[in-house]
Amino acid sequence: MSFSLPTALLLTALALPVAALYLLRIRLRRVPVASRLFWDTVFRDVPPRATGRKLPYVLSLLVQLALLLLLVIAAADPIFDARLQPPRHIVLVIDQSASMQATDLRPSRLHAARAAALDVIRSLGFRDQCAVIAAGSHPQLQTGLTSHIPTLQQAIRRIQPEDAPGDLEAAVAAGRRLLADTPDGTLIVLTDGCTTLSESQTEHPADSVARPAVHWRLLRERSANVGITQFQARRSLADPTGYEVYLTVHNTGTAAIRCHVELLLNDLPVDVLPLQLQPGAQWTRTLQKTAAAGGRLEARLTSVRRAAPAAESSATIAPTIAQQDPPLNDLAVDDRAWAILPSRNVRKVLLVTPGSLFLQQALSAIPLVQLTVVRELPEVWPADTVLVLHRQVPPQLPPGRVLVIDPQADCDLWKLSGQLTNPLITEHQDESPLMRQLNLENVLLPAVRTLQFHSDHEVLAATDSGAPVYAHLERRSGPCLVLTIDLERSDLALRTAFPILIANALQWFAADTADWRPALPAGSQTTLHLTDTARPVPGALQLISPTGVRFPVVNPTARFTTPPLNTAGIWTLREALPQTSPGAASAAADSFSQPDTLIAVNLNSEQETSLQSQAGLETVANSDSQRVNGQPPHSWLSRPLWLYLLVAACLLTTLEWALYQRRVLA
Amino acid sequence: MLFPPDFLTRLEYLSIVSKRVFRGTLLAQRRTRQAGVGIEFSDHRHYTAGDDLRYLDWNVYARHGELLLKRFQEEQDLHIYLLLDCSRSMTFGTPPRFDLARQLTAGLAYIGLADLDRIAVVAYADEILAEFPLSRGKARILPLMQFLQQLPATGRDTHLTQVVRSLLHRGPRAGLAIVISDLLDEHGFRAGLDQLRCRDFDIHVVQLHDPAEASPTLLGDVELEDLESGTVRRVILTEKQVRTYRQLFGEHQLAVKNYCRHYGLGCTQSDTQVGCEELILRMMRNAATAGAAASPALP
Repeated sequence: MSFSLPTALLLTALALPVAALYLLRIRLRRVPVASRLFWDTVFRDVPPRATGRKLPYVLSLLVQLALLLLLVIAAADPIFDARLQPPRHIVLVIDQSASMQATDLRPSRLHAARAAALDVIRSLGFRDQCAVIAAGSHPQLQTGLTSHIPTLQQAIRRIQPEDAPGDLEAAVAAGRRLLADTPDGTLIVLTDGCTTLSESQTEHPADSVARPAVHWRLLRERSANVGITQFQARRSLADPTGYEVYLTVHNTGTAAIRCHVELLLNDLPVDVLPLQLQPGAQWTRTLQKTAAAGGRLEARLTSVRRAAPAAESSATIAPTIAQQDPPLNDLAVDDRAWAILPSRNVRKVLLVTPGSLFLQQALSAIPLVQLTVVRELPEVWPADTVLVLHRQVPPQLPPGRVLVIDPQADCDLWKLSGQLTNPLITEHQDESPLMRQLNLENVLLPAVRTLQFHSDHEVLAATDSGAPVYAHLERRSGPCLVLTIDLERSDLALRTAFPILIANALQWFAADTADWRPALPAGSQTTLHLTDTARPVPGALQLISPTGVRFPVVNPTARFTTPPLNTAGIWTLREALPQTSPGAASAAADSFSQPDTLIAVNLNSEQETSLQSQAGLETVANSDSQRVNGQPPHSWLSRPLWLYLLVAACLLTTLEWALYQRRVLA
Repeated sequence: MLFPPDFLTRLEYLSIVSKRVFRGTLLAQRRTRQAGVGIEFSDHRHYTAGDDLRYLDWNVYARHGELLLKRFQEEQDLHIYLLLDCSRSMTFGTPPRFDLARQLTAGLAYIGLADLDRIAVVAYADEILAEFPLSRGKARILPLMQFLQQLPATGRDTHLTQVVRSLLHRGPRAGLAIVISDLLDEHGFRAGLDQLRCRDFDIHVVQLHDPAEASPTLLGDVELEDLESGTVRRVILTEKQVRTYRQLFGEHQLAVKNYCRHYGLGCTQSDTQVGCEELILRMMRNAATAGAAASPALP
């Protein structure tokens, strides 16, 4: 033991005046009395100051000396050897990837990691500091360097598992940045090792050049798992109502297994596939199915059990306790996968034309289009019908979805203003979904009508002189597209661009996105184009996770990038509709409420499903565990001793007070 | 100041009150028990040969045929002896009760002098320290006050018995003896008062005490210094011991009171917070409510 202020021990000299005052006996108070007549009677049987009554005084002197000694030692601040150690700075990186949900360590690997982290916290001395980083798909600092134990414990307990692979490398880098000012800091990573690390990260801490060195603590027992590692679905290119499903199932355990893969579309069973997989085997299939309706496609892994070995007869051998099936499927998050199947809805199209075979054929060629051709515009037609007006334009364009081709009359939206001869189309709105996969630049146009628009419009294609050839007109009663090209006189109808243009227009009217939206790996982000349909960008959106957690999106732009999608399942982007008064919106506007946008998210990670540590990491962790575990835990003695000395001094003060009271009031 | 400028004025007032309100029951109108040639009928006695027939009560003879002689009281001036305790215990208190005792002595003396009685002041401790001889007339009040003012309280002991014995050896005429003291006499107060009683003195005891003396608030380690003897005793006072002291003091007070009541002596016990005039008035009220003083036994 040593003292941080040894000169304070000189205060021990105060014991001399304490003893001197005791020996000198401060003169007693002299009280004059008229007569001792009565006092002598009172004290007749009691010796005035018996020897036994001096004892409290001696004890009081000893207590005072002890009190002085405690205060002197406290002032000198004694330090035990344990406290001579410098304060520790520790960063705990806790892996919260999907594989940490494995149940080989009960109840889960993450639970074991949290328990190990709490053990480290409990060993902290009062001067040690610790920080906690959660290593998920995007590492997050739970708490900075602090010595406040409850804060650290709360930060650790707050860490929940994700369904995504973890980025341990980024988390370690973040930890190193935290310890940049403390080269002797310690970085402890609590993980199961199911990650991809660079070679430098798997160096032994003693060999590592980077500072501070990383101490790996692996938390895993076995790698027995079977899971879906790939699941995608798309519409068939040949069959408009058909679709294809791509599925991969991997058995990473050491035992052969049997299982079932169930396919469900909108929770209705589509197919059930029995599988038998040898240890380490991978099963991959592309399935062809048919369904006009779209929706949520789900694959489920069920009935996982051990497959009987080939040499055994199932009728002869009963399993003993030792032969009972070991766990075969330690990770549940990869037992389900999702995909979004676009729906195939019949689109009604009413073509009003004096006669255009090209236009008629282009519309008929589009799958699931129910085409009606008339020569004159009827008075009524079915709802949800796209109206295609070829050359005939009423003075007042009807409400709804309207495509006008080669208008030859004025209407409420435009006025014919002339004609251009042999123009060239030079302006092209490539980013618009209406112009996707289109190229109109080399289209022969002997003549193009020019229109003077009365309302706001978006030019999708224009000539070199700026005259719109193809435009989108905004109107409250419904979207309107106008193509000013004369199909009979140009070669547009003969080009492949024409049916694509028509298909884009119909798809845009139907608010169907042509793009296939694949299932995303958990932890990734995606960008959604909110203007890919005829519907306007909503004012407010809500992103709803598979577990029901809502993330509000205020003032979304045309391109909306989601946050990291860390939970496996179906995410929903929904318009947050404001309250409207009755009758305020028109019927046309009501039909344009934003449908939900669905995003499928799956684990889709071989590394996570395997539940196996990266090669080399186990070796490093095993060789280092002794050093990490060998840190002597700080005991209560690491707390300042003067604190306990003061407490003892207070107790002695209480004793001295009691002795004084006893002398006076005995 | 022991005797402030208006002291005599207050004494004059007390004297008037004593005569008119209390009809002199306090001091001067106490009749002596001397039978003599006064005009006031006192008693009868049987006729014996040789008695003067002028004093024969003819009415009694006419009625009852008995020969009885009338006896008459002889009014004589009263001798008042004021025994003032001058021991050092009288200096206890703030202000010292010796001051009150001297004021009381002066007050009582003035009432007696105003009534043409004779007063004498005997200052004592363990013996007679000083005396103011028997005097008569109001003019003597000033010398008396001077005497009292110069009187020290230096007695190292209190011995009333010895003092009374010394006094009685001089053969004074019986009268009224007023003992003004704290009665903290280790030799006892009874013997001295008994001697006075036996010599036909009317006795009135005035006992003075200080409130702090009756209820001390001492605790802890103290040195008790006896004011009279000067001896010191180191003690550790506890609440229990203080309670015992208060009990003993109370018993002493009660013993004095009971003794005086038993023998029909006048007794006034007061603390020093009471003023001199109030104390004298209290004495007058006590004397009035107790009736006339016990009739002097006829010799």
